[in-house]
Amino acid sequence: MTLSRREILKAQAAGVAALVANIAPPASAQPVSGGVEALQITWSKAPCRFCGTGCGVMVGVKSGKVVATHGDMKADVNRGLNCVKGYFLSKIMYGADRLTQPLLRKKDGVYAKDGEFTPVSWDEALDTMAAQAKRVLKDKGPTALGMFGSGQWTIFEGYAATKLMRAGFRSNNLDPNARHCMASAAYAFMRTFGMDEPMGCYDDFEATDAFVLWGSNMAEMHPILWTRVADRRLGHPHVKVAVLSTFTNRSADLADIPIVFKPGTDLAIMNYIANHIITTGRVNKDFVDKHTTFQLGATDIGYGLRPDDPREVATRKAEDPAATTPIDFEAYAAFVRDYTLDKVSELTGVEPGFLEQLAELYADPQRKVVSLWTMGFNQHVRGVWANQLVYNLHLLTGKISEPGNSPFSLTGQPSACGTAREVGTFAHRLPADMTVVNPEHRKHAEEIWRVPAGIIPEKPGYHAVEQDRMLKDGKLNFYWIQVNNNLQAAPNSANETYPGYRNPENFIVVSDAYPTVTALAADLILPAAMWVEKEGAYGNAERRTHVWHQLVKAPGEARSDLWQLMEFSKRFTTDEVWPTEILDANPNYRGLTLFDVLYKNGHVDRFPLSEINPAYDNAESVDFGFYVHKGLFEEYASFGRGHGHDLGPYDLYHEVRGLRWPVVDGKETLWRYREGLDPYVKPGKGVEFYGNKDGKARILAVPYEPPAESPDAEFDVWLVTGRVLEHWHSGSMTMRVPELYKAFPGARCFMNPEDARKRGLNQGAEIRVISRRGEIRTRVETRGRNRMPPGVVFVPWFDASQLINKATLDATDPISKQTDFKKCAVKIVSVSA
Amino acid sequence: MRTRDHDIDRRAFLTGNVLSEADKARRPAERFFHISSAVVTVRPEKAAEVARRLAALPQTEVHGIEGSKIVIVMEADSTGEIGGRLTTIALMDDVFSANLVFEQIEPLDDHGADP
Repeated sequence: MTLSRREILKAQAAGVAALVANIAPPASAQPVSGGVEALQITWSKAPCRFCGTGCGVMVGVKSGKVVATHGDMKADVNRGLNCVKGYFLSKIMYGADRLTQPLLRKKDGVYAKDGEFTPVSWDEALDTMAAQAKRVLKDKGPTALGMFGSGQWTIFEGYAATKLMRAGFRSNNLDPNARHCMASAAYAFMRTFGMDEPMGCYDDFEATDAFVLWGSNMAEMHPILWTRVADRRLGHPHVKVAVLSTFTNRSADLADIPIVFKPGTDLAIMNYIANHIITTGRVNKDFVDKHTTFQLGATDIGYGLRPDDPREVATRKAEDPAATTPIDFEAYAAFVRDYTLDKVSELTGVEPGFLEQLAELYADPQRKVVSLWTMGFNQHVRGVWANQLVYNLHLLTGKISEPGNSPFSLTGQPSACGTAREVGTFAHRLPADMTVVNPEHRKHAEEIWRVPAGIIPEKPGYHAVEQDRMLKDGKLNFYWIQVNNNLQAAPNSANETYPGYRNPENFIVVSDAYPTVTALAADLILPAAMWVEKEGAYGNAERRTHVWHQLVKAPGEARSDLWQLMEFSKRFTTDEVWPTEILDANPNYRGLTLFDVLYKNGHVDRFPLSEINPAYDNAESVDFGFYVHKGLFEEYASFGRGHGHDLGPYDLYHEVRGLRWPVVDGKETLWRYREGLDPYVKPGKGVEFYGNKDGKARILAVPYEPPAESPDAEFDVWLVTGRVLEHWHSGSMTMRVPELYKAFPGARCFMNPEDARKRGLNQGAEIRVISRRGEIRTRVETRGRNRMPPGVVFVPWFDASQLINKATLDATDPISKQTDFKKCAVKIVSVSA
Repeated sequence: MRTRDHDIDRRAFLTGNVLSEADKARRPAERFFHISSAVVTVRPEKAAEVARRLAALPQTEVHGIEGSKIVIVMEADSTGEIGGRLTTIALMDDVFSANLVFEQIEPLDDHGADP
């Protein structure tokens, strides 16, 4: 490379950055003559494959490889920026240890549970897998078959999977890893508004007067959105930022109101704020009268532990944890009256002054408020309550469904919304917010899927934590895991997850691009194509559906999860998997493969290959002989069109940087439920929460209840788990980047310096973090970015050599079945002691 | 990929060394050169001070400062180096975020003509 070319490229880079930052371009900046195209790179758009923010990136391909990426300036979400995780997109595809061939445990040339991983052909892999599935189906029936999917699945993959599991194998034992991160949010949306997903969008950030972070460290986990928050705060001095957490994190640097509360007491803080709004006369009575109703929730709902766990027996009084009874405003006001400033200050450990300032952000009718939350709320034994309690504050004040007033649930995975939730890959769900327990919904799905009536089973399947328990107990025997690393992610893993994988009765399949601890514990590993190695579609946290083309070929024999699902379906005929009575009543289905019934069924396969843009590859479509993605998308979209979940025509998504649904007459919807902004709100209504039949949202009265396990004399500190900036989720990708590895080589236990001193521990000392379930060895960190209050430690979970989930508790929210990874009791012991 | 039994052990899996030496040797040892620009969002009153700290980082130039924004250009031999440096910047005092904007990756041995 010549010096002049290098200088030109640097000037070009600086000029683009200045443009994005909206500052004057540096004098050195000058465009490359002939534009970026002159560099012989083909540029295409794609969403980032990491978090739920849904940034748009431009991907540059040269000679069949991704050689350059940059934030997409045409993408509304990130406006040309790209965070450090997004920056590693190209790196993760070209790691030296990409899986490129199926690996089957074999001994003496045949499959053996105690065999060694051996490279095999796709045919041998899928034939062995099919034989195992048929063995299990024959012995135990469809409820012994299960699948664990992902919020990183494309929409097509999730949709193909839900069809295969529910309509093909007749099993609802399909759950996504989004159960670990989004389930509480999704249940709360359904219970409050009758429809999933936020009413607002990121445009709220530039219209609001206050941000309140409830259990979210956006500075490290959502850097692009945090940049938008910081820009709003720094550019408008009247804007306030409140950051609530159980320890002081990087996000607190921007906080006007920093609040560190005792774990689990956020419930009480929200009831105090509601009480403050009522007692200071700031209820928006007109809004409340017209648009809300009040409910009292069941209490003493337990902790989702195994039913015979003594703590469950002692605490589970409610027959139905999700039950509610109607009450009126006066009863609600009386309910929250107990949550006085003094009482809540004492319970939470928060100074009264900060609590009052926080309450005023919501109460002040002149101030618009955006509430933001992620795992602090969702990974909570009362996660559904926590979500609903924050809706209460926005509903009591009418601060909702308009620019700048927005309760907003952030997401951690790129398609937790678009795939896991909207497609309906939870154990109880169907597309477009429908459920398997509703006979009308099943009938509707069977009609769209063109399968006989009665095919979809009505009983919800096992949720994530229950799947692990059932694998261990030998009730779930065939298990397929795609696009996640659950052995590292699941709680109480040494006791409740790993035993199920190695249970001799079980056959475990893991589809992944890279070797992980989960893959290592499997019996068959299938190499997966990732990101732009396939055509894809994701849906982000603000209802934005974003589609991309296949831009490069997958390495070796790696194939997309979509191809794997569809190819597997060819190995089963209806006679093998459907009951005789249904086939007797529908003889035209006899002898067909599940591939014929579900995919090449005269409907999904109606778009020919000629409709694919000839500038791009499309491996699955070429293999199956029709435009698979368009066919699946258009069938899936027919669930939501006309029902408030409208998606636009598929081809449109290849042109735009995503569209926020409902997309009506080609136009996206930024704010739902408000007349003039949402085409579904009837004229004259003003605001209409049309997900509920009465058009009203629910305000829920529920109390503070303590966590499942609190510190005691022996296990004397709280353990909180989570992530760090450098490593995404389980670290299977980022831990292989040498510089990131060096920056944060292993998990550490962040600890209060005084707590460490009392135990005779110095900075960096080697320790054991011990719970009643298990322990890890790690080192003490008393400095650094997280500053811990006394009695609370934080350990990130990215490190495969320090599996902190051996120590966590498999307690879940009894309504959402989502694990609480933020609250259990441990003790810290010096290794040298 | 290997063809014999007993070749892939736990350590190889977790350390990302599942490929044999022969496989690795088949992969061309391509070397690249990266030029990347980033926007750093900082506490406005500390912008000048942060800019001085950024300029002191290796292969990092400050190309503009305005309000809470600093534009930098970084050079490096690998994605990891750029990402590692960006992470360091993102975690500096008085920095709220550091985000990449543009990157050009050039083969080190590509002496292609100037555009």
